[in-house]
Amino acid sequence: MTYCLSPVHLKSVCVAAGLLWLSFVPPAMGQGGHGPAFGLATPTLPQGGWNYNSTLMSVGTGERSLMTRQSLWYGLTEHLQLNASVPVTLRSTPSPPTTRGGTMMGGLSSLEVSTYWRFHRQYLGVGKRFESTLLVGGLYPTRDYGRERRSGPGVHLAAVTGYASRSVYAWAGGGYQHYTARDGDRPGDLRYGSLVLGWRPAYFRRGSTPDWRLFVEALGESVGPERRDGSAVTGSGGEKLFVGPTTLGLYGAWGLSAGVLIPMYQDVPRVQEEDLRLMFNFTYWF
Amino acid sequence: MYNAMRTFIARTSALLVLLLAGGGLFQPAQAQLQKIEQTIFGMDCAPCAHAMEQSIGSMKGVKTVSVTLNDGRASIDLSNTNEVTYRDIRKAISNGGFSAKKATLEAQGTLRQKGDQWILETPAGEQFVLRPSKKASSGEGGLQDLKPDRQVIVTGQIPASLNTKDTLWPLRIQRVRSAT
Repeated sequence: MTYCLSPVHLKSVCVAAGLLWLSFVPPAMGQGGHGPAFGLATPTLPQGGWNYNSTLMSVGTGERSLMTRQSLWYGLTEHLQLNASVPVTLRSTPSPPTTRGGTMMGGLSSLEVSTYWRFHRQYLGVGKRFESTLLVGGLYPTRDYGRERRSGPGVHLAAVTGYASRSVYAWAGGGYQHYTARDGDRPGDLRYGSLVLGWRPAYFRRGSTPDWRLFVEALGESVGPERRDGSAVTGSGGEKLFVGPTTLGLYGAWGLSAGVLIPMYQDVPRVQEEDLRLMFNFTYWF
Repeated sequence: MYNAMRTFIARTSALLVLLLAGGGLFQPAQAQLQKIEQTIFGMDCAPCAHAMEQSIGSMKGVKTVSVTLNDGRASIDLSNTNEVTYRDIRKAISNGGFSAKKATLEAQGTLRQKGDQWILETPAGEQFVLRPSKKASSGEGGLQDLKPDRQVIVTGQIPASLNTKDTLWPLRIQRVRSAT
């Protein structure tokens, strides 16, 4: 089989197309609502509302993997949202860590279709909500997760509960990601928990100023052993704990968020160690 | 000559009256809801307010809408002719993922008496059960001056918690004035 474009050219075309897309279509909101870049949150979207995200994320050490993810969110009802996201890997490393770009952003290099069900909500006052959301997603790998190793489709399940107000935010949640094996190969199962605390300074609560808020996010991950030819790979998998600051700025229908996660603890094979996770996200609500 | 002029003036006046009355028949429907100050719970961010403004503002008959986050309030002005119902407004808020609480509204309609209840019925058929204001004993806001079948404009308050499945909205009177 021959290709008109080499993979390098194809990548350039994808990047150019993405930039072109961004220049014409206003980009949208990362986590579909309140803005932690990495942790789980309870996104809100009106019935019939649309939301578009364009995300750039990077994980790894030294030579870093770099990918973009374009996501479209739709509010089927005010309590049920659908999300589809498409990844484009700009640069990959031989052994990228088993993780998700952002907990609600999709597995690395996988197409993802998700449903968010806000099954619990309490309206506590002006600007105040206490709510909980269940997330169920299907994953389809678009490329190898390691050198010449590709898994079958996967699932992602998560639950999160949290409080939103005009001044403070807090969410706690956890999730599980599993890929089926293909030819006996699959990455280890991912279990994670996230905690997000947010604060909107008084200056940014005024109607005349952009709406900025600051978050501190913590993310703990536990990855099970990878399987090759049906057997568990000895020494694979492990645990990581990250903490870092993120921010979200909103103005009208636009949003921009950015964040960094710094590893506090890592017990994984050396090739899977990370020094930093980075994320930038543009959002637009239609 | 004098009689002819009197006849001409009388006929012209009658024609004018008929034309004006006929014109009235073809005027668009009277406004029913005129102003609403709606408190909304749960709305924390600028895009929430933006979406709410878009949703309510897109209703035919809504002249202006402004949502303030810190007060959690939507101020809605409706055009002279509109068919917006209060249920539409609450539905838009609920579809946005938030909760409509108390509201102050100004509505025009016809007074009906059903038993000991006074009902304000709007041209769209929406009904508000009028409750006397807490100051009713001092005169204003009482039910004693109401007369059936009169066209009135009522300013009043919808309570914070109510059963949204009810077909009648409770409206605590602040002011009643004649619509004619």
